[in-house]
Amino acid sequence: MKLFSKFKKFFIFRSIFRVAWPLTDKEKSEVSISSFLLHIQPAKVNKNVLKFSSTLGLGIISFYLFIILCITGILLMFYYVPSTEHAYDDIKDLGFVVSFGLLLRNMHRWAAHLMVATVFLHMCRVFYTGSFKCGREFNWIIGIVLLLTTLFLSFTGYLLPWDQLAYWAITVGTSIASYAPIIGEKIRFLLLGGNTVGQSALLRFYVLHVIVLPVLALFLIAIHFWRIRKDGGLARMVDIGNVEEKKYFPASPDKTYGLMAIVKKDYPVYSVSEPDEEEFSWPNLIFREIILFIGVVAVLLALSLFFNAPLEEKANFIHPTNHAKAPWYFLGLQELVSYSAFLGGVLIPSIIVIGLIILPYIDRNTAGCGIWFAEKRKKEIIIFTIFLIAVIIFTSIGMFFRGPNWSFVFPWGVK
Amino acid sequence: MNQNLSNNINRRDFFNLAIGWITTGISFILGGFSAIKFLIPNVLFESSSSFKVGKPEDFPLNSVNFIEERKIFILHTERGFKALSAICTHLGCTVNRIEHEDNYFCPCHGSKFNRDGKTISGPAPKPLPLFEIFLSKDKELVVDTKKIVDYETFLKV
Repeated sequence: MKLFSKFKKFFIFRSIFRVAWPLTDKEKSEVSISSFLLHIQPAKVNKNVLKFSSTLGLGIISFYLFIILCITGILLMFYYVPSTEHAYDDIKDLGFVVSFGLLLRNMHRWAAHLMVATVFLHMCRVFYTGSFKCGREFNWIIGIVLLLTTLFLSFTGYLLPWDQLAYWAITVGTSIASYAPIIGEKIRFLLLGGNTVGQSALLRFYVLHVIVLPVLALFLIAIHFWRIRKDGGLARMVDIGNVEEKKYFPASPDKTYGLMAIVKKDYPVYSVSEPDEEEFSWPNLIFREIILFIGVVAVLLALSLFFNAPLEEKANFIHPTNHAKAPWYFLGLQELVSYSAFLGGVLIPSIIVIGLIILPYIDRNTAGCGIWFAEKRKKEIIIFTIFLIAVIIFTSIGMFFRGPNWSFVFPWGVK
Repeated sequence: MNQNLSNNINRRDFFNLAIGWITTGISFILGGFSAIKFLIPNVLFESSSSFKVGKPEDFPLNSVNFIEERKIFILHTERGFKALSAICTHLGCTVNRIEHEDNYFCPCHGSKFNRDGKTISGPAPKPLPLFEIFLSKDKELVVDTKKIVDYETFLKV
């Protein structure tokens, strides 16, 4: 112990960390401000935000999964060649020849599935708590773009194993794109780099999957986080009462003193809550986050040890598998597509995406900011819940009630 | 820019702004156009759209043969030869021929086509297309998948 405290005063340690292991309040705030990684979060956070029930941790779990996907993905890249001749064999090698190759592939696969789920649930949480209101409207839009990026990342990754599942899922998926009016066929041609799913399609999907989309996602995540900070942290119910009571100084258009005084701005800054409502990020927030990370890794490892990522036969251009099913999060879409490709593949998804993007500008009821299932938002909550139930119904029909030839079957085997 | 906060801008500011935005706009449009042009391949390493499928004698009368690697059916009827696409018009899966029902079935979303390729049921919006089929100089059947013909076209040999 004595040695450790000596080391902390040591020149090299101080040159790296600046602040010793924080014990006093002053050190606790200093450690948050002086560290690059910790300064992303505020030095003090509201008690309500710290409660697990207020956020369910879904946003940060999605972020952790993204980080895990980046790490496992980069490792998989060392053994994977995006060519129609090698791709399938490389995936087989990962499963049988490379040390921990199967585990890494499983982790990558299950983390991707989990991330789609947590990002979607995060969106539901933000809606039901009304956290996209009170100046946070644009951050909701960034969140929707991140959801789409996650789905597209998952879709592009789906082709890479070059097995039957991959080949026919991408054939079907890109054919849906060609139903878009006027530019549909051109989009498909651009995406595939040809008329059929072949070598150029594999290479294009690979480049999108490993560089373009992850970089875009990282950039959007940075803005998403930055805006949370700039908008005064996560939305919470205490905001509403306090914001009007605060004494503001009038803002002047050509003086900069607005930066130093409390001036009412166009965006919400609620960093001035009462001292006893706040706690230091170190250790209250940081340690919770570390424990959550350990939990995420534990769940993912358990999944990856017990369940192997599927790999079917090598892609066969002639015979589609029967039944060719998309991954579970696209099954609702595939179910719609089985009625009409244009309606289910273009029109309804477009309406959903546009609806979600403009949602904060339609749903302008300012009540219920940061409160779960606010009484005053009953109407909006009912409409959103109906949308969710429709998603669940179509997904489960596609998942459980569709057998060979996409005919209707009962999962319990009654004809 | 002018320091005063009035909304009026003078001629000099207007032209400066206009030139600035127009040149920025043009360079973005040109850059975007060239990027898209770059991404559309000019040369495709795909197999040619017209190909030989064999001699007419190889296809007995009233038979339906599946040319696997080209995804077409060669039909020999009493009125002549036809080349029918095996790619489902719904979402691009390969249809299977059901021998005893004499029709075609898509395993992906359950579209059904009759003997001539016309849609019977399912989500397929269009019938299976017929491709042009002709005899080459060395008396072999040639199919061109770039050329779509109507349903009354037959090749009489």
